[in-house]
Amino acid sequence: MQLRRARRRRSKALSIAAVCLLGVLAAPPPAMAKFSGAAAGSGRAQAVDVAVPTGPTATFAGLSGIGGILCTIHAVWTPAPPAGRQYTLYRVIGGSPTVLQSGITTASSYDDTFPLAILAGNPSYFLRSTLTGTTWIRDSTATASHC
Amino acid sequence: MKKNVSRLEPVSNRRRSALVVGSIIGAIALTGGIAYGLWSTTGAGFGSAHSRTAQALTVTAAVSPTADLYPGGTGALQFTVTNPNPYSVTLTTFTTSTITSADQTNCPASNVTATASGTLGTPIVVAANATSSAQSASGLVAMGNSAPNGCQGIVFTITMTLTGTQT
Repeated sequence: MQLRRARRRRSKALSIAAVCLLGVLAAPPPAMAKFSGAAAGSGRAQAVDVAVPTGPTATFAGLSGIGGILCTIHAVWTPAPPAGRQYTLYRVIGGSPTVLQSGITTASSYDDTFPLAILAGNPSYFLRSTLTGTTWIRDSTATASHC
Repeated sequence: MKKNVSRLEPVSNRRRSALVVGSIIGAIALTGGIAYGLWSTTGAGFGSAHSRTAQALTVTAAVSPTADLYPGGTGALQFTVTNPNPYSVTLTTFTTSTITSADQTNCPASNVTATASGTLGTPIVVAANATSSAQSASGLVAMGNSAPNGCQGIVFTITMTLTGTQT
């Protein structure tokens, strides 16, 4: 009697297990339908370019001092530097450039007065544009004048 | 006792038989369900599924990328994706590898780094048999603080892969 009951229970359990197994097998067809996608190749990135500023105009404004030993040049630049840029105005007489004005953020002008004694050839002027917070620069063309 | 047992036996056999028959019917019904499920999901069945081999998508670098890199800053990796498959694909993750500088002399590629891998900020959906619009994965490229003046305006090409799934 007990043996038969045990067999019946086992038979029942097997049948339920078979039905459950079939249920699991039948469940997920959508997951099988998806393809994976892979794309290979390359992308690009580019660094900004500090625009070359327009060079200043430089005009002779006159001689001054006793016997006219000082020369004055009137330098003008426009437009103002773009956002994120600053200008520095330089004078060059012969060799290395001399900073006349730095931290320029507007269109403006500068009167440069210097002794004629240091003049070795005509003076020239240029603007240097700097990307704020970096060492990146671009120089304008130099504009020459005479005394 | 024997009399009771002889009464119970036929009932037990009937139950067992009913269970077996039920299981067989259930099995047939569910097997049919599997077949129906696959056919209805793919719309093609097993035979057609073999012909639908997924083709690789291609990533093409932007011809004129927006210039946004500068010393100490980050920029975007710009490209388009072409999908030759007859279904749309959504790309969600990326990896990058080799970086090439357009001017290795004045601006070596070592001045730039790219995020090695990650998840795209916005998934890229590419329609079937189509090329995506211009893509810009921002913040993936970084330029070192000491990048020299010669790096201005330089273009960097970065090998990359994108992965995702059919949608």
